[in-house]
Order: sequence, then C-alpha cells, then structure tokens
Amino acid sequence: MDPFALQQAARTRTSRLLPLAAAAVFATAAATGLVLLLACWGVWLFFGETDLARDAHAAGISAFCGKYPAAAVACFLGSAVFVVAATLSKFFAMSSGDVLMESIGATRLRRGSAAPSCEGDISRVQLLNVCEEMSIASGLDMPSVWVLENEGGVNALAAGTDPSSAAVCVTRGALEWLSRDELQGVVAHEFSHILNGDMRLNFRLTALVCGITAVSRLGAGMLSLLGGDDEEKHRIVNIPCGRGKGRGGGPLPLLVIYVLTGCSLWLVGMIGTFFARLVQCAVSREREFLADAASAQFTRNPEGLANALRLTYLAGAAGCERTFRVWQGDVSHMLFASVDSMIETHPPVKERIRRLSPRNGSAADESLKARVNAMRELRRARAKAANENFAKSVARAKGLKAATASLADAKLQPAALATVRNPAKAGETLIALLRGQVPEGWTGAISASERRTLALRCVNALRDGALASQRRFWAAEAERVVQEDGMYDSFEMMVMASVRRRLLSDGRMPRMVPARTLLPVAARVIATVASFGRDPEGGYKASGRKLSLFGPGLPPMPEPYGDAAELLGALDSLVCLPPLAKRELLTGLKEAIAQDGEVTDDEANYIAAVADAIGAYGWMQAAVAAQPAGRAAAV
Amino acid sequence: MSINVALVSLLVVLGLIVALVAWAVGLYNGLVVLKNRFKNAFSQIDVQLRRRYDLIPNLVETAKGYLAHERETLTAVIEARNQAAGAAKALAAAPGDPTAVKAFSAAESGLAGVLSRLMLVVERYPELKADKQMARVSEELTSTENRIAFARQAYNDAVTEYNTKRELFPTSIVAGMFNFAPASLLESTTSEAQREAPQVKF
Repeated sequence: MDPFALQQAARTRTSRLLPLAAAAVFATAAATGLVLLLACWGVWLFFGETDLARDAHAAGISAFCGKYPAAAVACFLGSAVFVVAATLSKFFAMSSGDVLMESIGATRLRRGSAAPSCEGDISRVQLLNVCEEMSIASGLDMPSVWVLENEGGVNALAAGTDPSSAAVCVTRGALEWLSRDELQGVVAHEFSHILNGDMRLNFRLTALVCGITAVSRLGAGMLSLLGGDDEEKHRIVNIPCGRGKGRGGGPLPLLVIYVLTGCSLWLVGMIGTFFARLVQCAVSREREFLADAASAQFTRNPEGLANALRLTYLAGAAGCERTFRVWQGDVSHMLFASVDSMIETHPPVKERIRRLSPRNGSAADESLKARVNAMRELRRARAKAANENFAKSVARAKGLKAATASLADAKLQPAALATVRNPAKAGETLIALLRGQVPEGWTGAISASERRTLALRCVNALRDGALASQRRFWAAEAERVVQEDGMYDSFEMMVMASVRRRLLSDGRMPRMVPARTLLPVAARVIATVASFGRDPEGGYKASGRKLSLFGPGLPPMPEPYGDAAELLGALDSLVCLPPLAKRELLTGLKEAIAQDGEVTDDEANYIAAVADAIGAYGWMQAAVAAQPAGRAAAV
Repeated sequence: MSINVALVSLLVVLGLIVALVAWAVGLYNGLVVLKNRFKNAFSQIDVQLRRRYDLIPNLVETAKGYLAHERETLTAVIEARNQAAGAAKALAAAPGDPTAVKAFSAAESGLAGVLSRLMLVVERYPELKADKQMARVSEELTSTENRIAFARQAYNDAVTEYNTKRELFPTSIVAGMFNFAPASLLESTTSEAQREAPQVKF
C-alpha cells in the first residue's frame, strides 16, 4: 500500500462530503422558510379579504407572495439567519485536550514524575517515548500524554481542537496488551487526528448539526407551549383573534395553523439532523481511513497498527472487556476503535485492516490469539473476584449504613418546626441552641442530631426570610455567643460554618479549581475530622481509599487544624472544588468517621459542618437516606 | 478617446506585471519555506543523534560490569560513537552539502553496525538482560534508534518535497534565478550487512 496515495484519496472523499453537509444546512433553512411562508399564507387566508374556495387564483400562495413580497423574503431570510446564527454560535468553539482528559478521569504522564506505583513500569516510559517518536515523525509539537487507568480494554483517543492544546490518551489495557510496534501504530493514528485537525472538523460539523437541530427545537418549543394548562392555551391562541368571535368563527383555524407549523418545523429539523448526522459519520469514517494511512506514513510499519486493530477485533469478538461504556456518547468519534452505537463513526475494523495490510493470516496471529485468550482469562478471573467481593461489600455496606444513620436529619417536633418559620423566632432559637438551652416550644430533652437539624433549619429560615440587616445581626449575635466561652465545640463549629455560608457569603458562585490543587487543604480537613474518632490514623487512611479525583493519593496524615478560624477558612476554600470532588470528599469523610464502627456526635457535627460549608449538605442527606445495601460502597 | 485607450492598456500591462511579480514572490517564498523546513528537520536529526551519543556511554557503563570479557567490543562502540559525533558536527555546519552527508552516513552506519554487534553480545548474557537498569537503557536505545529513523524520514520527506518543487515548472525558473541548490537525501546504509539495525529484544 502507498500511504501517500491512500491519504490523498481519503482527503478527496472528505472534500466531496463537505458540500453535502452544507447542502443539508441550506435545504433545512429553505424548508424552514417554506414552512414559515405557508404559515403566513394561512394566517392571511384566515384574516384576509379573499376566500380560497371562491377564488383559488386570487387567494393562492403565489398571489400572497405577489401581494406581500417583503413577507415572503422575510420568511426565507429569517430562517436562513436563524439556522446560520445557531450554527455560528458553536462553530468557533475551542476545546482544550487537557480539560477533556481531566473530565474523563485520565492521569497525566510526565517524564520522570511517574507515580510511585508505576516505578519500574517500563510501559509508561515506553508510551512517552513512542509519543516523542511520533512527534518527530509527524513534525508536531509533543502533546500532553494521558493514561486511563480504569480502562482494561484496548483503546486510545486524541482531543483538542488546536494542535498546541492537543492531548493523547491511551487506556491501561492498551499499555498492557499491545507490543511496542502496535502501540506506535495506535499513537501515530491519534497523532494524525491532531495533524489533520479532525477534532476541529468534527466540532464544526457538530455545529452544523446543532444549527439544524435548532429548527426542530423551535418546533418542539412551539408545541410544548400548547401542553400547559388551559389558561396558557387561550393566551397563545387568543392574542391574534379575540375570544373566538372573529370571521373564522373561532380560534380553531389559527390553532391548526400553529400546530401544523410547529409539527412541520420539528419534522424539518429532524430530517435535516438525520442527514447531517449521516454526513458527519461518513466524514468521521473517512478521517479514520485517513488517520490509518497517515499512521502508516509516520511509522512506515502498517503491520503494527493492523495487528492492534486485529487484537481489538478478536477481543471484541471474544467478549473481552470493552471500553468507555460510561461516556461513549461524548467521545466515541475520538476513539481509536469504535464502540457499538446506532450510527457508526468508525469504518468496519475488517476493512481498515484490509487496507492497511492485505495479507491473510501469519505468525503474528498466534501471538494475537494467545493475548486474546489471556485477556479472556483475566476477565473471567476478575468477574470471579468481583463476585466474591460482592458479598463482602454488602456486609460492609450494611455496617456503614448503620454507622452513618445518625448523620441523617432528625425528625423535629411540629411545634418547633412551626416556630422557626418565623425569622425572628429562628434567630432566638438559634441563640438558645448555641447557649445549650432547650429552645422555646420544644418539649422534653433535645438530642444532638435534633439540635443539629433544628439549628440548620433556623439558619435556613434566616437566609430565606430575613432582611440582609437581620441576617447580619443574627450572624453577629451567634458569633458573640459562640465566643463567650472562648472556644468552639463541634456544634458551634457547625453552626458557624453554616452561618458563614448561608448568611454572610455574597452569593457569588465560586470559581471552580481542579481538585488536585486543594489536596493539602482537604487532607488537613480529613485529618481534623478523623481526629475525633478512636483511631484517627486508620480513619484518615480509610478515607484516602475513597479519593481518586484529588490526585495520586493522600499525603501522610497532617496536623489537624487547631484553630477554629483556620478550619473555617479552609472550609471556605473547599467551596471551589468541582461537584464530583465534593462528593468524593464527603464519602471519604464518612468512611473516616465510620471506620471505628460508631459515629459520635462530634464526628456527626463536623461532617455536617464540612458538608454545609462546601454546599453539599443536601447531597449528603440524600446519600445517607438512599444508601441501598449493595451500592453503598460506591457512593 | 485614444488617450483613454492608451491609459487603459497601460494600466492593464502594469497590473499584469504586478501580478507576475507577486506570483514570482509567492514561488520564491514557497521555496524558502520548504528549504527551512528541511533544515529544521535536519536539526531534529542532530538533536536525536546527540541523544544517542549521550546514551551510548550510559549503555556501556551499565553493560561493563557484566561484560568483563568483551572489552574490545565496548571500546569499539565508544570509538565509533566519537567518530560519528565528529562527522555530525561537520555536517551541522553545512547541511545538505553532499560530501559532508556522505562522510556522516558512513560514520553513522559504522556506529549502527558496532552497536548491533554489542546487542548480539548482550543476548548471550541472561543476567545482563534481566537487569532493570539495562531494560531501561535498552528501551531508551530502541526509542532513540526510532527517533533517528523518524527524523531521517522527516528530513528525507522534506528534502524530496523541496527538490520536487524546485525542479517543477514554473518554480524551476525562480529556483534557477536565485540559485536554490538541490539538497541530498540521507542514505542510511551502504551495504546489506550494515543495514541490520541493532537488535534490542528482551
């Protein structure tokens, strides 16, 4: 095979497909214009001075166009502008490869900074070397290199709309199962995607599809307005014609026109989207052929890539581990080998192999078969181990559930609930709780979890019902009471965390930062909470096992926060964590406090303080309430 | 009337001349871009060769403890390395110069031959092969050999593109006027025996 000729052919075929995409947009815009024109004509007939049944010539659509040429032009121009604007809104979107890789949970590989677990693992060094080799062969700058540690299947992807922000990622499975030559072929394939700007091309095509989809969204929006209650229906239909006493004898004809227009727009958009997607997938398939051919040009060794493809094909046929089940919809067009989907973004593997190496069967096949068998064995062994672990995890989850049940909101006495709906009363109740008194309207003794729940309700009532000056007053009052004895206990800490966030914050959304940058803070917070258990060190370590988004692992247990202001400041900075990292942190904390088998009031207060301070209290409640026995370990 | 005709034809001729000059400038610039590209590709080879020259003492150092009886092989490797490094320096001073390229090619293939002999020797020492440090060094060596090959490949692709462009009409006129000399391809080997790459199989 001649890689240069193959690439030329693939490029030619792509350039033949692109006008089709433009045609789809154009046709959709034209059809939308036509629908709008028909709708205008219908309205004209309804109000107009002519009657179609009496005089077809004077009331035909051409007569309407002749009479109101501006309306006809406006229909087509308007729909063209609409579709083009919807397309352009996404057309120049850029995407940085690194951001995407972080979002799918890949780990960045750097030279000389391999994680301790990878020490002595030559395959990662090899991957970096192969990438550098390919950057020389392709003349591209070295992209960032990532590994998906949780994916056992063989796959790879490239991301980034701009070569300078490109990223290449392979699965752990690819490192485990591919030989050096095969890995080189796969990496070269991804480099070709970067070099040929395939991500950008795909973004642009997606923008075209979005422009077309906007039409069907418009139609669906029109129809959904009808779905409301009767009042809304009348509002739409009666605006133009009054309460049904017009010439048409009621709103029905207008309603029919409205519904027909909505349906037609929806249908036009759907048909257009379908064809645009077909073109997009056809382009995507051509780009795969192009990338295969370019890979052969870079490596001058088509057998490497062909064998990698054979391996994925055989592994797929043998039912081995497949990759990217979770978010295949988002990244399927970027992968090296396809995953099952409705419209195929990749050409059939057999065809790709045939184009790369037209031979049939060889000595290499034996090695492939052996590897596929090993993969299958590994999969079986893992399934068996998973089954065994399942029973254990169920038992563990039950223990965890029992231990963390005290984290759930307590049921409050109705009288107390009614009291705290009034902001002024809520303030007084909060102060009473802080002073350790039983609040007004509460009968009998009050437990720790009831105190916690009631205090949070009070703060919520103040936030929702009080004026800003009142909020500041009660916040200052609470702080004064807390500082009377010169120290913070866990309940006071929780109340202050809640007050700071709910009553004193400026309400701006925090700017998110990567979880890794906050690892030291998170570690000290965990250490602080764990220090209230019977086994601080064990609890700290147990929570570390739940954290993956924070980077390579928890550092050795740091000193707990000794000063309340310091801890509150740390909690403030944790607000900037991404939502998934917040959940992980809470899950880790829960693990830390449940590690010794019981949850004390102090521990419960502290975890509530953290949860409330980082804005995840509701999530924690939902997680505690909905802990199903088998899945709690994953929460 | 006649003034107008003369003016128009003058403008047309002027316009044609301007267009022609702009076109020639475009061709010239295209050639310069291609020339710079292959020069850059050559500097890439240079970088990778230096990497290999730096790596070889490392390799010899690692192997020395195990290969007490193969002293002359190790000495030959070091000598060939120094020779190749010298030839590379000479070539870097005049990229594309045919005589320098020839000397360099010979020195390089000499080094490749000696290295491959060393690797065959290594094959005979299982405990050396099992050495972790050796596994690393030989991965680096494999990678470096690949890099050199890919850099040469990129250089040759760039030179071919430049030469083709240079010879094709009408660029050939501009190339002749401004003295764009043809560049030589790097030929990696001169004989069948030297064509054998260092065997690094673990």
